[in-house]
Amino acid sequence: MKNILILIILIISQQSMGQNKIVTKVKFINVFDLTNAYDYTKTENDTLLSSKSIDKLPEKLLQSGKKTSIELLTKVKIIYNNEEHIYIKYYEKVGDLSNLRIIDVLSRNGVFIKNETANVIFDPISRIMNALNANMMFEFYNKEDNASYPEINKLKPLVKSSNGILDFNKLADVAEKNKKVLSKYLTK
Amino acid sequence: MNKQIVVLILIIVFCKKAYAQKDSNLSLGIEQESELSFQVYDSLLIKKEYVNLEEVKNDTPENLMKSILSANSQEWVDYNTLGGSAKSTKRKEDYFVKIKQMNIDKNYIKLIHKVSFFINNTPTEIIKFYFKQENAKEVSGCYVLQKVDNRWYKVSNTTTSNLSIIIMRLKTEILIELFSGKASNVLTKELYNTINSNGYIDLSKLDNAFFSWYSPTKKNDKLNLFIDSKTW
Repeated sequence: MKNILILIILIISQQSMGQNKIVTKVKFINVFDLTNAYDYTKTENDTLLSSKSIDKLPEKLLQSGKKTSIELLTKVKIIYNNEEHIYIKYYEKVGDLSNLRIIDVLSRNGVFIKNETANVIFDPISRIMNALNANMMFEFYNKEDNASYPEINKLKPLVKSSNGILDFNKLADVAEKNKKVLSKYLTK
Repeated sequence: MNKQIVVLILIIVFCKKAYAQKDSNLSLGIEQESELSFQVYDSLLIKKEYVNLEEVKNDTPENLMKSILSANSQEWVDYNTLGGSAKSTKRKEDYFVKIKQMNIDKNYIKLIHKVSFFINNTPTEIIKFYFKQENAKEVSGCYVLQKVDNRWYKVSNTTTSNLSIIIMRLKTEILIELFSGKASNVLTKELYNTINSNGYIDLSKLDNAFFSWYSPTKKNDKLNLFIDSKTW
């Protein structure tokens, strides 16, 4: 009898909590704390890797042997989950061979480490950077259409949320799928 | 004349460069889904309760609120903040003097409602409150709190910055109707239909709808119906 009484009290108290709580399902964009995108200039390519300040830069991890030359293309910085990732797209040229590469550099209190641990952002950012440069990423992001980029203008609605944030995974899908048609903008 | 032209060119170059640097940030993110629960507080008051940081555990969101209201040193403010000193609000000494001298019964927080959900599997709560102050007008506020390694912290991030304003400004009864899907009038029903996406409340759409009431023109019918007039 005492047990039944306790059970009744428990049920009543749970009901009263339940009435006060509404449960639903939501979707939202988890926005990176910072996304910074940048295309290297020709001057930077001529001077950056041999500059005195290279030891203080993430690009220092790209320096390799005498037979290898580097052409810097695009840098994207993303702060996600309190970690700062710097992605650098570059050509690595060895003799007549030229390979497009993307390196993931972790920045921890000014110390740069090549990140080789799997994470949820490396695959999408690789697909984005393989197809786009920083300038094109901004053309996807900008609110106003740019008449010089009609193909991007057509694709923009597919990759942006209602409040104007670029959806990382959708941008990766669209960029990869339309890589060929978008490639003409890489040299702009 | 030549000097003026050089100065003008320098100004233009500087402005273009400054603009380009500012413009190099993008707003980029990953779409996520989560269960969200909405709860209304039943007249729960938060008062300054702790005197020393050593007493503080921050084991529940509400205990963290007590700790925030009790914090009488920068070290304590840092302890309450995710990211510690690097992310905390910097307070001056006179603020801590006021906290130490504060009349507990005349200065307190009244909790109104909260949403609880997960960002990247991290438990996250947004709590709306009014801060009652002695000899000053009551002010509304909203804190975003996250649980990391079994401790709750006050946080500030881009994902929740607009949402916290929305959770603070919307009336409790409107949020009840939106999250339960039981709209009581045409405008709320219309809003629910706008933000409902295949059984999910789309918070990006809610964000977009909310700011459309203020700009480019004010939608007074919606503001009067949806917004709590006591909030800033």
